[in-house]
Amino acid sequence: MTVKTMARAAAVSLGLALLAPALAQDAPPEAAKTAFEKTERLENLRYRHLWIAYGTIWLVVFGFAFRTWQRSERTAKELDDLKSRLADLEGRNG
Amino acid sequence: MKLFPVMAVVGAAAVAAAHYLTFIVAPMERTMGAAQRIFYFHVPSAWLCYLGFILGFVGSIVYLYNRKAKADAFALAAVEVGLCFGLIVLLTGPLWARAAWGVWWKWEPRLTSMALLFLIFAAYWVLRSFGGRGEGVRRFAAVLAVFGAPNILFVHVAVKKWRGDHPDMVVSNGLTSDMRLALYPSLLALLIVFFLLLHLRYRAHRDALTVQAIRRRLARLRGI
Repeated sequence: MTVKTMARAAAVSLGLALLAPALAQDAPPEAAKTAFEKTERLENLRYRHLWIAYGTIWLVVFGFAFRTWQRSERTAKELDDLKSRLADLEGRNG
Repeated sequence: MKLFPVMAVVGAAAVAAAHYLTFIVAPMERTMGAAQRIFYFHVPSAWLCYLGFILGFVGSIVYLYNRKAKADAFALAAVEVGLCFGLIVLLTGPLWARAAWGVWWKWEPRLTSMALLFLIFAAYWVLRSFGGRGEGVRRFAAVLAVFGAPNILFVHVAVKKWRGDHPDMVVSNGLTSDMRLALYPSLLALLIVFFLLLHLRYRAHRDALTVQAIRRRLARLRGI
């Protein structure tokens, strides 16, 4: 098992672990809501946890994008190298 | 690739602007309070999750029709991005549910069908990640995507059809104008992130295929 495989397995396990506590909950009955109504109440401090949650999510998403970009850059360099080696070899073999 | 830094900066700025509109400009909802603000990212993420799976479906159909590796690479990239947004939906939904319902999760139709849809495409991703790169695995995964994508319809109609507790269709008629002012820029910001990720993942899979092909050709030439 490679490091890459283990990392993927760890990511899947982490996802399931995050879902597990949620799946264990029971639910009280409540009617469906069909419209949002606005209020003038200010509760800025009470949704600080939302900032933290979304901050973490975007950090992970952009981190994932950055890692993919880094890998793509490496692959692109490898591709250029392989293409020049191929051209050399094809030139030598006529 | 010089496009990435520009797109990443544009995407990050758009997400930051969407956060400003969501947390500062959008009004406080009367009954749900701050938790309702999850809606401005939760709903666009769900739409983009659908979009990722639909593009995965289209890529898989094209691959099954013409067996072009690029179509398969596109399908895989689209499913990966769809899963990324699906994970955002499944993580932010419970945050809202805890505040609105008092529990993290309910086995109600919308939530259950969404979890099942996610698991179907997670199975596709696991198959592609651990099943090797053979033609059989690609075909099997493509068929899985083709049969998995129509479940989006079940997720979409779940609230109306089976009368669950999930808020229903508030986007069309249940939002005030300043709530819409937060929702649509959020959708645009997430759309930029969606296409940035799709482009990156597609390029990564396509280049990996080209590297493999050139290596095989080099090996053949050396064997002459």
